[in-house]
Amino acid sequence: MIINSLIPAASTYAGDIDQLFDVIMLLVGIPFLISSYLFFAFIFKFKKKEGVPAMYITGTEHKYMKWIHRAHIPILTFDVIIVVMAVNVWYDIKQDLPEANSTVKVIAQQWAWTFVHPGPDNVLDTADDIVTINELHVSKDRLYHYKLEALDVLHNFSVPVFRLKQDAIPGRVITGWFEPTMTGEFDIQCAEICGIGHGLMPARIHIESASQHAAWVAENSPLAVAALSPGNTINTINTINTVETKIEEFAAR
Amino acid sequence: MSAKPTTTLITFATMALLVFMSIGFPSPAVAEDGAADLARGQKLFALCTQCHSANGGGDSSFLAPAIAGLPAWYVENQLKNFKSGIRGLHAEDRGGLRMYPMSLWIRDEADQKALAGYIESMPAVATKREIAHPGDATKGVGYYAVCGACHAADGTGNKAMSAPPLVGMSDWYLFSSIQKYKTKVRGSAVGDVYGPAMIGMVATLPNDDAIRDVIAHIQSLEK
Repeated sequence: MIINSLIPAASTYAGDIDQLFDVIMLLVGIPFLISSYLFFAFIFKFKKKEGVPAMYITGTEHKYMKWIHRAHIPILTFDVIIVVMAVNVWYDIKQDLPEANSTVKVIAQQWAWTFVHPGPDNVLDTADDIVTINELHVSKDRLYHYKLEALDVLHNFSVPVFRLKQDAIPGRVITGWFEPTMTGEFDIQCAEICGIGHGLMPARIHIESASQHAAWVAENSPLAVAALSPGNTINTINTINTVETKIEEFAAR
Repeated sequence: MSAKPTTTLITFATMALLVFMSIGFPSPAVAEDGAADLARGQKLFALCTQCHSANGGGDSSFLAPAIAGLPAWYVENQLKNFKSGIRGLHAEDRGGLRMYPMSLWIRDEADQKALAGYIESMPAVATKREIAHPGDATKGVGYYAVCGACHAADGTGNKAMSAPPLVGMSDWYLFSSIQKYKTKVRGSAVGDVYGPAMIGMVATLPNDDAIRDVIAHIQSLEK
């Protein structure tokens, strides 16, 4: 509701996370507003008055303590609601690994993302794998596993439209999943400070229809590229334009 | 004791003014006579020091070679190559991928020129010998004959051939650059005019020992 109005939800589990945020926002936000109102209302109501001495209250009597004890009941109830919902969402996204239709490698380094897509054979680590810099191509309605690595320091693979954030840790290969639900081009960002170039580590995810994605794979398979133009790697002009546009946008603010 | 409203207002106004002043104003990067604006270049160089060190002597742990004293035309060309993706945007080029976003901060040609001019004005820093198994300079003489055609017999480079000086470069950087050309990690991008020639030239170095030998010879040319 709240997050979805600011940024599209483009994965199967984005709605679950948005719902969790909405619940937390309401359960925490409404008591916050009430307590803030009371706080300032009491400050004005009981402000210094001529001839009225201040009361010294130890807070040990029941008639005062009950206002604290009663507040504990909704706090504990809300905590339990939030924990139960959060554990369910965490299990679905982080612990339950559904079977994948495809697997991609995501390699983070200072200060770029390398993506390894399976080629036409849909198998990684074969000759037709497609390697791109700062540009991930996936197909809508297809479940992907990602194998996340970091070559140097801590990074974080963050895809806001998926509501996906996962730390990348040097020496470890972390497996996760996502299933895109809409086509379009969206941001990928590093969400862990990783050095002076951290702010210039954006990439783009291209979510394509099945037919568009198949065409992209066929066109960019190293075997096809080699046949067209020996020695050339994938054209990176789109990525460059994207990053430069972002810098210009940043500088214009 | 609480501060008076006027005191608080003055404090905030002063802080706001300080923040505003700290943002600064962009200055033209090319001096009126067309020469590089060294003051602007020096300011821009602060970014480079993060990896290339304050004196421009480089740091192999950051995959950053020595750059102090390099000719401005070469530095400017490389900044343009990195920025356009002709150099550095390859999955196997870890140093290049670090340099690529840095080159984007040097926003326009005037700044590239100013930075390159400042780097050229810096005194060259004697580089450390970092290769684990140094080669044989005598054997390297023969291999260097091919390199010398463009980079000059004394290794000082040749602007007309777009060949940078090799003497004074970090040995680990020379080694990794030759390896990158041999594996087409460098030099094979679309739009790289001189890269394909380098790929052909390094093919005359048959193995790692030959690369070490030619680097040893280049080091022997340093005065």
